[in-house]
Amino acid sequence: MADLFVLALAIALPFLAAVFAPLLYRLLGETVGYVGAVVAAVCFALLLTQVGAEGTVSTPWIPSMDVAFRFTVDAFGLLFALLASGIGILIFAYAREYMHGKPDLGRFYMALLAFMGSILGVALAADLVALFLFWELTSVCSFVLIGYYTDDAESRYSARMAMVITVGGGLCLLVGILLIAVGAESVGLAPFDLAAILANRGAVADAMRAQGVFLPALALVAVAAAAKSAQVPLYVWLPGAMVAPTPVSAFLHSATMVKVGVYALGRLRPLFHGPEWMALVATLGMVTMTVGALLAVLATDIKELLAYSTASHLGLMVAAFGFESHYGAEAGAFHLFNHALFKATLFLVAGIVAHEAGTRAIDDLGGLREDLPITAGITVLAALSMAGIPPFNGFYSKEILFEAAWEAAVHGGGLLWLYPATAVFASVFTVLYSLRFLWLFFGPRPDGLGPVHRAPLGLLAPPAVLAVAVAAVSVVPGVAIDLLVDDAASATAVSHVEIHAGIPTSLSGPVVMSAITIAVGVAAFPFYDRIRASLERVRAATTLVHPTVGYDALLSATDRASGLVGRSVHNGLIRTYVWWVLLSACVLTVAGYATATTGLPTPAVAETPVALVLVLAVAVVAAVAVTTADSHVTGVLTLGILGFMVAIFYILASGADLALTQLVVETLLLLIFLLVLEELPAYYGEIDLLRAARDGALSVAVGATAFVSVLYAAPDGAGAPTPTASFFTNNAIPEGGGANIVNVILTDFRAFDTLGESIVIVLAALSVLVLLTMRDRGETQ
Amino acid sequence: MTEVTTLPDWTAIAPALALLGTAFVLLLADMIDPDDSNGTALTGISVTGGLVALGFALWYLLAGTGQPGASQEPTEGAIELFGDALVVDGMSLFFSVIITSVVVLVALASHEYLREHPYQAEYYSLVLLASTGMVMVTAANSFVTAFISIELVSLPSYALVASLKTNEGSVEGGLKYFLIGALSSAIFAYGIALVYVATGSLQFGAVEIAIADGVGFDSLLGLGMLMILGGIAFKIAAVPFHFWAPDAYEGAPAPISAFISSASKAAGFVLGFRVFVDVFGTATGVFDWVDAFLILSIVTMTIANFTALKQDNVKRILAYSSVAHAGYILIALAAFTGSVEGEISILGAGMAHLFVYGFMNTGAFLFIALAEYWDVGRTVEDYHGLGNRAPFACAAMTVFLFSLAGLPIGGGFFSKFYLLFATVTGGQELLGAALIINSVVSLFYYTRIVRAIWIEEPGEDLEPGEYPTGLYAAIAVAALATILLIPAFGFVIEYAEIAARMIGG
Repeated sequence: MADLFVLALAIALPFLAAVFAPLLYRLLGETVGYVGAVVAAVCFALLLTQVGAEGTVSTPWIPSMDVAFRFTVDAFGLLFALLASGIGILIFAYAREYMHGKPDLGRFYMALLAFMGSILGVALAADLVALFLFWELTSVCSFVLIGYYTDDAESRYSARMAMVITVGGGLCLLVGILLIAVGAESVGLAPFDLAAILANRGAVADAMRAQGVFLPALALVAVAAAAKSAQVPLYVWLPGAMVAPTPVSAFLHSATMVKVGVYALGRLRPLFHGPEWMALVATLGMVTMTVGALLAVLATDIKELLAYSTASHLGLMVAAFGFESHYGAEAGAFHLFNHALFKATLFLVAGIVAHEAGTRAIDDLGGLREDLPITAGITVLAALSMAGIPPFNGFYSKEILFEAAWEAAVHGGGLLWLYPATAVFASVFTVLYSLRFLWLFFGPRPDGLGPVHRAPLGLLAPPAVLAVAVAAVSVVPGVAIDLLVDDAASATAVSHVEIHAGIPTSLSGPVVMSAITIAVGVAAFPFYDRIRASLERVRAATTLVHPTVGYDALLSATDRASGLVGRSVHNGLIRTYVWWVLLSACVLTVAGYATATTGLPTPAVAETPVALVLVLAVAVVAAVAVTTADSHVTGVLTLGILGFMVAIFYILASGADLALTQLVVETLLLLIFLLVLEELPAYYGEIDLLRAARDGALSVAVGATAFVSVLYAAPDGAGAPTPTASFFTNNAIPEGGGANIVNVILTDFRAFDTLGESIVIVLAALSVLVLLTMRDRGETQ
Repeated sequence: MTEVTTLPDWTAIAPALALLGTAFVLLLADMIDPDDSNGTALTGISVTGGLVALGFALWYLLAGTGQPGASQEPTEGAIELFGDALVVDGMSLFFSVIITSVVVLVALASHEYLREHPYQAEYYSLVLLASTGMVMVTAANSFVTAFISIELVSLPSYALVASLKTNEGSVEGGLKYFLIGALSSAIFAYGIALVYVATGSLQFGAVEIAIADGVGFDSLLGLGMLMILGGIAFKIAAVPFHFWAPDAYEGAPAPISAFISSASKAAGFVLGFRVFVDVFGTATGVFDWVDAFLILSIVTMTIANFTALKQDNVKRILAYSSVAHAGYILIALAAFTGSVEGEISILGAGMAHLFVYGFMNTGAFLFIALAEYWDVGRTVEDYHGLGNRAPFACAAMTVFLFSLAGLPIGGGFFSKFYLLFATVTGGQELLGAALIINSVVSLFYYTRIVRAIWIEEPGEDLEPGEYPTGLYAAIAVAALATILLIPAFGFVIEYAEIAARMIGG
C-alpha cells in the first residue's frame, strides 16, 4: 500500500531544500551542488521503497470542491519519478563541477531543486488540480533556469518563448482538466480525482461524449502535451531553451520536463482511448518525429542537434501512446525510460565537449576520441542506442513502435500505411544524425580545433553511470522490464501488456522496417553533407511556414495592437477619455434597448401643436448655428437662443414656473460665460479635421441616444397617475394652500428638506468666504 | 445551563467604528504638536486601529456573526441595522477582512514612505476615513447608504492621490481621478434616482420586492440600472470608466495606489455583487445586465492587458494589471446563470479572487513603494539588477507577480482556476477563452518585470541605502499571505461560498 508520508516527504523535501538553497550557498559555497545530489538521492531511496506498492492516498485540501492532496503510486508514476530523481542525483553532481565559478549559484540550485520537487509532484499526483499545479511549476522553474545566463539577448528571448508556450499550453490543459471534471461530476465522482476517473474511465468517457466535451477535452490535452513536449508546431521553444547551462538542458529539456507532456498523454490514454485519439495523437507524434529528425540533421551546434533529436524522440513516444494497440503503450513507456537514459548521457557528453574543446559548432569538432577516450566510449553506447541499432536498448523500444505502426496499418489499411512509412523515413534520419554525433569523436580532426583537455572526474562520472545503465538495460532488458516498465506500460494500456525485448529471430513486417532503416541510414551516411545541403534548400524554400515566423509575427502583431490601443485610447488626454466614456455609455445604452423586449413607442407627431413644432425647429436651427459660430461670443449668444426656445416650450406646455427658472438660469449662464470668455484667447488655432469629425460623430451618437432614451422612458400618457401624484393633486390646495404643486411640495410638504438644502448652501458660501480670506496665508508647514 | 450572552446588534459594525474612531484619534494626536508630527506614533495608531478593525471582522466572520446558524436556511441570519439601512452578513464581513488587511499593510508601509511628508496625520486619517467608507459600503443595504459610503471612499481618495502636492504627476492624477469620479458619481446618483422613480424605494430589500412584483416603469428601471452599473464600473476601474486608474495609480504615492487598487476595488465589487445579484437578480428581463457585464468583462481584460504590454513605467504596468483583474473578477457577474448552485460557485470564485488579490496586488504596489523610497527610478530599465541588491524584497515581488499571472506560486493560481471553472460549468466558453488568452498575454509583462529584477544587469551601480523596516514588514506579510493562500485556499473559498450563498441563494 502506498504511504502518504513517504510520498509527501519525497515531494516536499526538494522544495524545502530549495527554500534554504540560497542560505546554504552562503554557508557552503559551491558544495551546495552535492547537497542537491543528496536530496535527490534521498528522494530516490524514498521512492524505491514504494516499488511494488499500488494505491492512492489523500488528504483534503479544498473540501468544498473535492480537491485534495491526492497521490497515487503505480508503476508508471514511479518509473517517471525514479527517473527524475535518479538522473537528478547525477545532474547535481555534474553541476557541481560544470557550474564552477559561475555567479548566483544559490538561485540556480534553488530553481533546480524546486524543479525536481515539481516533477515528482507531476509524477505522483492523482488529483487533476495538483497535477496542473505541478505542471505549471515546472514551466516557471524552466523559465528561471533558461534565463540564467544574463548577458545574452537570445537567452531572454528563449526564456520568454519557453514560458509563453508552455504556460499557454498549460492553460489548455487546465481547460481540458475542467472538461474532464465536468464529465466526472456528472457520473457522481469527485470532479478532480484522477485515480477514480481512470478507474471508471468508461463511464466518464461516455458522460463526456454525451455532453459533447470529449473531443474538445482530447484536443486541449493534446495541445497542452504538444506545447510541453515540443511537438509540431510548438517545438520552437525547445532549441531556444538550449541556451540554458548544460546540466539544465540534460535534466529539464531532455530527460524530465519535456516528458511531462508525454507522461500526461500516457496517463490519460486509457480515458481517451479510441480512434479519435489515434488520429490526432499518433499523427502528431509521427509528424514531429519526422520534422525533428530532419532538423537535427540540419543542426550546426551539438546541443541544437540534441534538442531537435529530443523533439523527434518525444514525437516517437507521443506517436506510440497514440496507437490503439497494446504495442503503443509498451513502446511509449519503454522508450520514455530508454530515452531518458541515453539522451541525458549525450547531453552531459555535449557539456564535456563544450567545456573542454571550447566550442559547440559541429563543423569545428572532430577526432575527439584521442583527447577524450572515455567520453568517446560513453558516446558510442548512447549514440548507437539513440540510433536504434541492435542490441542497444533504444532499438528494443523503437522496434515495438514499428510493431505498433505496422499493427495499425494492417488493421486499418489504406492511408494508415503512411504510419509505418513515416516511421521508417524518420528513423533513417535518426540513424544519420546519431552517426554524425558519433563522428565528432571518430571523424577527422579539423585544423582549427585547439588543444582539448581531459575531462575531470566530476564531469565524467555522471555520464559514465548513465552509460553503464544504458549498457545494462541493453544486455539484460528483462530486469528493468520486470521491475517497473512492464507494469508502467499496463497503467497506460487498456488491454494486457507484455513487453518483449530482444533481437528478433523471425522475419516480420516490423523487422523489415528496422532492417531498411539501419541499412539505408548507414549507407547514406557518407553522403551526409550532400543530404544536409539539399535539406537546407528545402528549409530555405519553406521559411514562411516555420513556426518561429508565426511566433514572431504574432508577437509583433500583439505589439502593434498594444501600441495602437495605447495611442488611441490611453494617451493621457482627458478629452480622449471622455470621448470613449461617452461613446461606450451610448453603445451600452442602445445595446440595452436593442435587447429589451418592449418596442420603441412612436412620438405622436400628428397631435403636436404647430407652435410647439415651430419653437423646437428654431431651437434646432440655433443648435446647428452654435457649431458654425465663428467666435466664442457669437456661439454663446446663439446658445442663449436655444435656451430661450426651451423656455418658450415650457410656457406652451403650461409650465410657467419652470419657464421662469429656465430663463433665470439661462441669463445667469450667459453672464458667466461672457465673463469667462473675456479671459480666454479669442482664437485657439486651426482645428484638426479628423478630430472635429470624431467629436461630431460622438455628439450625434450622444444626441441620438438621449433622443431614444426619452422616447423609450417617457410614460405613454395612458394609465392613471401614480398614488404619489394623486396625493399631491388632491392635497395641494386643502393642505398646502397653493395651486402650483411643485411650489407647494418645496415650501410645504418637503419644507424641511428645503431648509436643509438652504443650510448647506449657506455653509458652502461661508467656506468659500473663509477660503477667499485665507488664500494669501500660504502653507503653514 | 450556560448563559450565552450576545453583544448588542449595533456592535456588528465595530470594524467600521474602530476605523472611524482611529481617524479621529489621529487628528487629536496631531493637535498636540501640529508642526512636528511624530511619524512613528501616527503609524502606530493607524496600524493599531486597522488591526482592531481586522480583529473584529475576523472574529465575527469566524464566530458566525450575521451568518446562518445551524438551524437556519443558508440565506438567513444577516443582522440588519438602522431600519435596514445597513446589513452585516457573511459577505460584508468577508470583505471587511480584505479591506482592513489592506489598510494595515498600507499603514505599515507608509511609515518610511512618508518620512518627509508634511501632512502625515491628515494622510493617515484620510486613509482610515476612506476605509471606514469601504467597510460601510460592504454593509450598505440601501442606495442611500451605498451612495454616501461610496462618496466617503471617493473624496478622501482624491485627496490622497494628490497628496504629494509638489509632484506634478500626483496632482494631475488626483485631478483626473476627481473629474471622472465626479462624472461617475453624478451618473450613479441619477441611476439611483431613476430606480427610486421606478420602484418607489431605496432600501435594497424593498426594491427587490418591488421588482419581483413587477414595476410599471421598466424602461426607467432599466436606464437606472445601467447608470448604477456605470457608477460601480468606475469604482472597480472597469472599462469604460477605468481611464482614471492608470493616471491616478501612477501619480499617487505607491502605498495609496496599493490601497485604492486593492481595497477600493473590493468595496466596489461588493456593491456590484449585492446590487446586481441580490437586488436586480430577477430584473434581467428589464435590462440584461448579465450580457452587459459579459461585454465589459471581456473588453476590460483585453484592453488592459494589451495596453500594459507597451508600457515602460512599472507602476503603470501594474495599474493596467489592476484594471485587467477587474475584468477577471467581473466574470463572477458575467457568468451569472440564475441557477442557485452555479451562482454560488461563481460568486464565491470572484470573492476569493478579490481576497487573494488584496494581498498580492497590495504587495506588488508596496514593492514599488520600496523602489520609490530608494529612488531607483520608475521604468522597467531602472529595476534592472535589483535582485542582487535586495534579494528578499525581489523574491517577494516575484511571488506577487507570478501569483497575479495565475502561476502556482501564490493563491492567485487557485482563484483564477476557480473563475475558469465557473465559466466552464456555466457554459460561458467565450469568457473562458478570453480569460485564457489574456492570461497568456499578461505573462509577457509580468515576466518582463521579473526578468528586469533578476536577469538583467544593472545599468549603473545602484545603492539601495537603508532597509525600511515597516515597508519590508508589510511586503513580507503580504508575500507570506500570498503563498499561504495556496494550502489555505479551501478555507477562503469556504467562507466566500457562505457569503455568496447568503446573497445569491
